Amino acid sequence: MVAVLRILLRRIALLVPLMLGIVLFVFLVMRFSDVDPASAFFQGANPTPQQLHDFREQNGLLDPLPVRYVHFVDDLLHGDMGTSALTRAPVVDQVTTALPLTLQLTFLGLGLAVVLSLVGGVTAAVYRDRLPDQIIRVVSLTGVAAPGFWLALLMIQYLAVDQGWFPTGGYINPADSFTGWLKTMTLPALALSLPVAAQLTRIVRTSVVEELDKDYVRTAIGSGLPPRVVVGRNVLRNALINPLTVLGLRVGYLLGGAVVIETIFSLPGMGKLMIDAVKNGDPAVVQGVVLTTATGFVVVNLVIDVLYLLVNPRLRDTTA
Amino acid sequence: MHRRTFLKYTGALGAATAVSASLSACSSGPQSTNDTGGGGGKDRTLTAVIGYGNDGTWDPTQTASAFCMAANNHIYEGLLDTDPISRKPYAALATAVPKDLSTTSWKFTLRAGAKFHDGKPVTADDVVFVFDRILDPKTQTLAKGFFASWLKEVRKIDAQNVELVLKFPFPDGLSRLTLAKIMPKHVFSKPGAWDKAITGLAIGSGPYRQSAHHPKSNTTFEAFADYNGPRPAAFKKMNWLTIVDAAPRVARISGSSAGAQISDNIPYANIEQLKSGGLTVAGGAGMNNLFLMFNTRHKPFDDVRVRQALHYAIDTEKMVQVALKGHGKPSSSFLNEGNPSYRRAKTVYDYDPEKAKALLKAAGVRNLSINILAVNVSWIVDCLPTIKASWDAIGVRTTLSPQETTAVFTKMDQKQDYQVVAAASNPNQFGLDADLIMHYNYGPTNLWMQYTRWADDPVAKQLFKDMDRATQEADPAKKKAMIQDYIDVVAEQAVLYPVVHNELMTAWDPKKLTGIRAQPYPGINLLQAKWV
Repeated sequence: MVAVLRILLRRIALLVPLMLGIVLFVFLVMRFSDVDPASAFFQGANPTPQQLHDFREQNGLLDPLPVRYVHFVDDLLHGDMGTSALTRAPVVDQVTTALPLTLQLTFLGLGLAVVLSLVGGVTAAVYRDRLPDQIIRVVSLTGVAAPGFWLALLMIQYLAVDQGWFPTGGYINPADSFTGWLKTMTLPALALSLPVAAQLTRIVRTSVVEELDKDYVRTAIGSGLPPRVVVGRNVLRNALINPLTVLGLRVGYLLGGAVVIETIFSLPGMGKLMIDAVKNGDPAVVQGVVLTTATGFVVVNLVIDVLYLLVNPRLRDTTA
Repeated sequence: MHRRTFLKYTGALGAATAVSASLSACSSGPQSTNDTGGGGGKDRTLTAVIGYGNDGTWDPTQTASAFCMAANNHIYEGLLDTDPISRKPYAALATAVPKDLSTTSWKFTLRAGAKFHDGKPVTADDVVFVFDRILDPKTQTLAKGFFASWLKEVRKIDAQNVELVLKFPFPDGLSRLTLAKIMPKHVFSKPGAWDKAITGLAIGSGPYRQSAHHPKSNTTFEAFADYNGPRPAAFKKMNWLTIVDAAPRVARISGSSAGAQISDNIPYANIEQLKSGGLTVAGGAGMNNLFLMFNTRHKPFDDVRVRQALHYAIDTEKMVQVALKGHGKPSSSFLNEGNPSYRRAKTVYDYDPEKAKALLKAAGVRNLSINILAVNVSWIVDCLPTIKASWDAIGVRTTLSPQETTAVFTKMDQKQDYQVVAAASNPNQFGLDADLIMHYNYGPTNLWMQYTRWADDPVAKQLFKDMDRATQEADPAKKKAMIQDYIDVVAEQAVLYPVVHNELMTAWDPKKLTGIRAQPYPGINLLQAKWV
């Protein structure tokens, strides 16, 4: 346990330079943008050259680049991501408002992907090379090939416009109406999860097939245990290690995929916040969203690294 | 650790994640953008979709934002407001429209009992406060350009009466009074209040009060119970969504359970689909146009023959048929054909590639390469390939750089170098009168003229003098002729000039809404609409 804690502390310590590097990268990339924060701030208000100059001076935009970077990091450490050029609101407020929706979408997508892939993958493995397996193979390969945004447009057309079962877009806060929230989130979560579910289905199938071929399964069934119990209690538990690993990595994909899906379904989450900020030339918001997403991704990967250590004792010796 | 223990941990982690997600879902996150039910029948919420952002400036003295201007028309009142289509003025906060327009003094009595949305009464001080801001030489406002040339000052007579003192008789000024929305002095005279006005603070005396504002998402309204003016609210609640992307905008108003009852900015390609779904789709032809703007400091665009050649080279009929699906006309003047002051310009850029080549040859221009800086508004993007093909055909190598409108005009504001801009414009948002439309685009201190770098040109200086003379002309017929004459100069110079004028389409559900009229400019006006 001490070894695990030591490694954990080392990983957390490594986060500091990693995050500084990410912040530096984002800071430098944003400097290449040809959107002038001063002009963006005064957009629509016909600023005088003096007003523009004053804004740049007050916000340190005339300082040398290294000085601006130090101030930028200092502000971030104090929870200040800057001010939106368009709304004049602190970026951190916009991010904390939008982030819950993106998390809802991501975890709903994740949950759907897990359920769909478990049902599909186990069924395909149990009925190996028979009709159900063939059907699931075709469906899952189609799902792997189909981009989420295309599925989203199809679902809007057929399930929302033609059938009227779901709204075509928009968001209802669960505090206002839980069923309304479910209705607004179902299609986006499905569109987000189906490609991931399709990939996971293939992995679950392979893992379960490998386990089913092992001696202990034959022994268990030969001892009179019902196959349903053997698969549910023994095979599935052992077969899930690989799919879970892949699932962890897919969280990043789901977070990224939410950018497009949120835009298509007009959901006011992090993705839409960023797309709108890019369109409207609001550099501080773009910076804030990118940094938050990157931080989220780093944290998820840290958790996965730690779980690896917990599950595989051999890794503790090699990395310690 | 054993794998089973690991699975227990991961299971617990998953459960914790799900719980935290659920908690976050219930306790925070964005506000709802869809109607959550509640009232039914006549009390239900009207949902409208606007194809423009709601995050532009909301300050009525500054804004040219389609969403904000349309919303402000429901929230604020001018002394006079105008019919959204005919632009005929009617008494809004004032009790009557002045009858004698040949004088330089217009007196207005404020409507008795008129209140702002915070419950405070509207007084003459509020009227003077707004006009003082607009006419203040030290404050740059968009509205100043619509008033400063003819309005000298606004005086308070008593708490309920004001006098507008004009520099010279100016009958057209009546319909411009709607552009001076009366704002509460006790709110907007506070430090920082104008900044809040930019970001969405809106307190007026109109039939609807702003109940919530979520930039880039939606703005909601409620009927103002104390409104006692001529156009009371017909909807208890309204939810205006901003959906800039065409596909989700069309989807929101489509189908049997459409989430909205009305949408502006309908793409031409979706008209038949929406009509077949039972919606009414109607267009308004006005000043909406695709224009070309040249940087006259960038050679060879300082030469009028080059600018003319590039206009003559464009196959505008093809552009109308292919890109606009027939919902437009090649421009034959700066003004659209429906404008009361329209006259076919002396120089009309009918498609003539041979003339274009001859003009370029006469200007000594060879091997010209042009990069068009264009806005990425969907119908503009559809028109750009025709411009490129037309210019390529006369030997001008053309590349296209469509980008966000904000990005284009930020480059303009930063005085970055450019050759040609292709963008969309519609001065009809402000009114129909030709003097206003021309002054919006042309003038010595005008923003657009700063973009073109043309204001110091001798032809421009003479044009601006002619424009001022026309503004001051009292005889309407003479004034119209003077405007038509100087528009000939504008057409000949083609510094900032339309290529095509096009219709704007609005769709609504006639089974649910009545009293809707399609506007020839962006946004919607629901002041005379009601539930069926």
